[in-house]
Amino acid sequence: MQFTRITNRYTSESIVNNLLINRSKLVNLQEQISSGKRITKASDDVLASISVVSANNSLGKIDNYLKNIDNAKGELETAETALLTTIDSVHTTKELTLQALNASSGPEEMTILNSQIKQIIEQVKDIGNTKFGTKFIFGGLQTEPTPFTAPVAGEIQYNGSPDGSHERRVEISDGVTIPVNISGDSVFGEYWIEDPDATPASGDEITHQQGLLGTLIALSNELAMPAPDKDFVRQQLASLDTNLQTILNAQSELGSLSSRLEMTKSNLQDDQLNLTQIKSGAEDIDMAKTISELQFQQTALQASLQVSSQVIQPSLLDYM
Amino acid sequence: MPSTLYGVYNAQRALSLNQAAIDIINSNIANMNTKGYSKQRLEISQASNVSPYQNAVDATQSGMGAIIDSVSRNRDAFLDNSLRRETTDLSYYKEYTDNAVQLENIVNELDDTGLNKTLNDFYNSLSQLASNPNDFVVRNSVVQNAITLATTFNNTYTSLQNAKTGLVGDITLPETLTQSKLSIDINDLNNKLSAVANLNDQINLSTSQGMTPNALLDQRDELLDKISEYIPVNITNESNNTVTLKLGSIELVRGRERSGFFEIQAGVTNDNPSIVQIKNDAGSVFSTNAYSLITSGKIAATLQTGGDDADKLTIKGIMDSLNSLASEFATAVNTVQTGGRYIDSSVNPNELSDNLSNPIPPSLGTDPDPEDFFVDSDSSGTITAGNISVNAVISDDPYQIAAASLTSNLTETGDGSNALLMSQLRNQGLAILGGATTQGYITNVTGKIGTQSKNIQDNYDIKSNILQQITQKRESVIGVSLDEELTDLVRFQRSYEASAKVMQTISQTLTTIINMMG
Repeated sequence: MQFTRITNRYTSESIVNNLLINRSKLVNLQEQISSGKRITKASDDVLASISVVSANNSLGKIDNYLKNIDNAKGELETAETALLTTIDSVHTTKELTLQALNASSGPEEMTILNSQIKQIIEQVKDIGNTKFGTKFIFGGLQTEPTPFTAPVAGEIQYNGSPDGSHERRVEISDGVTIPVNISGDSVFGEYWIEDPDATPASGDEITHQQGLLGTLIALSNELAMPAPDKDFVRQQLASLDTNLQTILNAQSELGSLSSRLEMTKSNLQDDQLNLTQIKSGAEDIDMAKTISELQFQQTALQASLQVSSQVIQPSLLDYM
Repeated sequence: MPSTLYGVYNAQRALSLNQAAIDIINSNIANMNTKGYSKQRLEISQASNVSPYQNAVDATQSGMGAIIDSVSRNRDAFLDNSLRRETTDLSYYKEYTDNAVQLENIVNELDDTGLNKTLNDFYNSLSQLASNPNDFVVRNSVVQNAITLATTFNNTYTSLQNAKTGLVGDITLPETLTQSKLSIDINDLNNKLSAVANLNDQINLSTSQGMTPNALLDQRDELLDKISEYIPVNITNESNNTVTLKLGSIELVRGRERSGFFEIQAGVTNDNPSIVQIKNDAGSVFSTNAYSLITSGKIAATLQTGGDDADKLTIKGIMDSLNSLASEFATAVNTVQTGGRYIDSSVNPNELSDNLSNPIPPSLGTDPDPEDFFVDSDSSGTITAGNISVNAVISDDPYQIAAASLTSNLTETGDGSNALLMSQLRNQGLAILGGATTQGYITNVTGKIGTQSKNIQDNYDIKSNILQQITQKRESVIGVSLDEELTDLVRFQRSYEASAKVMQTISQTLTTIINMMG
């Protein structure tokens, strides 16, 4: 039989080496368990590290998109509530207009009806100036100065961005943006008189009249006349219906945006869950597995300690 | 016919031989745990003084006793050689592993403090700004995140720079060249080469006087083991018991002369700040750059980590990647920034800037164009990871961030579409970064460093297993076994006792004869 010459340094070298290996494995497992992480630097597991880093990128983005969506939903809900109130106001105005058309309505009733309509005009103007946080939501890109103002009594002017391309967009997923505002002038309209040469009564004034506020103020002005033209009032009733339709359209637009946000949010949350699982699978330890490995390693260390102490001790010296 | 007292001499020789054997055992046991000690053995042979002039009857070949030929060392030249070869490789990978792990810790992207995280925060705050462009708090948070990002770039870069200076120095700071790790290692190596030359001299002297300088030989072997940690040295044993050391074909030690030594010269550029030359004391230069000769050993690891070899894991490589990232990122953000409108807070916080080169019709532009977001702090003209910083104009007044697009009107401060473009840069591949996005690039760099580091560590593990086996094999040859020594002790003790008995017997024989004379 072939045998190796076992010298004392040979024995101690191999014992020390094996004990060191066992100890470092044990310490490694202890570190993993206390940190809960399998990898602390890229070279521990390159593929897993890459998954972790890219998952971190995507999770960071998703967090941001979810924040944007919540923000946008808040704004859209505020706008929807504002529109609902406006719809109520339109219905009230229609009832008032019908009362005005009633043959029995005299000048006193007209005055009362008109003051009620004026209240409604104020109310619609206030709704147009609804704020979400610090922003006026119906001013388009112009979120800071008040969008609906009354420079002259009986007129309401819209100062925000004009309808069209001036929508505020929010990013809700990679490269996808949605508008979160509807333009105030298209929904609420305005009524004001421009005087280019600034001399009253020269007859060159331009009347800017559009939308709901245009109808309301025209109606109110007519009812303030000593003998209101009933045909004109009746026409306003038809205009109110058109205005109502515009508002309903805007509302359904907001509704569809809201549901799109809701859908995107739930997709993002699914992605978030998947990515978190991928990340966790890449970097987190399997507690049960690691603990049983630790116990196995402890047993191995104990065994090698025990055996080592028995191997080191005896020599011929003990028997001489 | 031998003389009457021949037996007495014979017995006396046997006694001293056994005594010598016990002394050797004594020394072996004393050095049982001495590193580098090789077990010594008494080479004994049968004494024969047969001379051609003696006749056949006198030529008794038996009964001449034993003599000591020499005291030899247990040594296996083959094992020594393979052990030294593996030592060179192991210390190369060990040194490289230490360096690689240090670099990985500097550019760690797995925790929540790396560049990736700070980039993410920056993009996210821009996305928030896009929804709330006239909110000062949001603007300020963009600035803060930008500052954190620039600082992270700067700190990572400085740490890498310091690591490199510590290894191989920096030519702009000449004193670092002599304090570098490379310089310290080179000095150690030169001293060890001198020590080998000295030992060669002493060993040669002792051998020529007929002695076996085992202690000196052990010392020299130990030194050769150490030298093998530094460079891949070739060792040749010469007939006069000296060793010749060579690196490639350049002699470092021959006989008692240190015929070549290493010296550090400042490099031309900071890509390779330290160049190792091989010279002799007379001033001749054998190698103007020993980089290609030093292929392994810890000096090779230091040179390679601090050098510019594109195939290796180098600090320069990582710094270059960070520089490209910083400069591409800054350029991309600046391009979007300068193509937008900021809020002109000094004039009217409710109005956008009317840029000189992009006025808002119908009026003529009166406000300065938007300033760059990121600038170089040292005004060198190029943005690097080391000098990227947030433009003071923007950090002093966050309203200077051009969140609005050029198409917006004067009062549309609620326009965040340009900020949105900046935030969307995160999804844009950049040409210089190989078409990767900024964060994708970080992932690639992390993966690359990780793979290289893993490769080095794997080699280190393999080499340490091999070396462990060879070391143990060598210990099995040169080490002292207590059992063996004790057995020998008993053997020679008995032999000594027996020789004494022989002496006593001869003495008694002589007494008998002398008494008969009486």
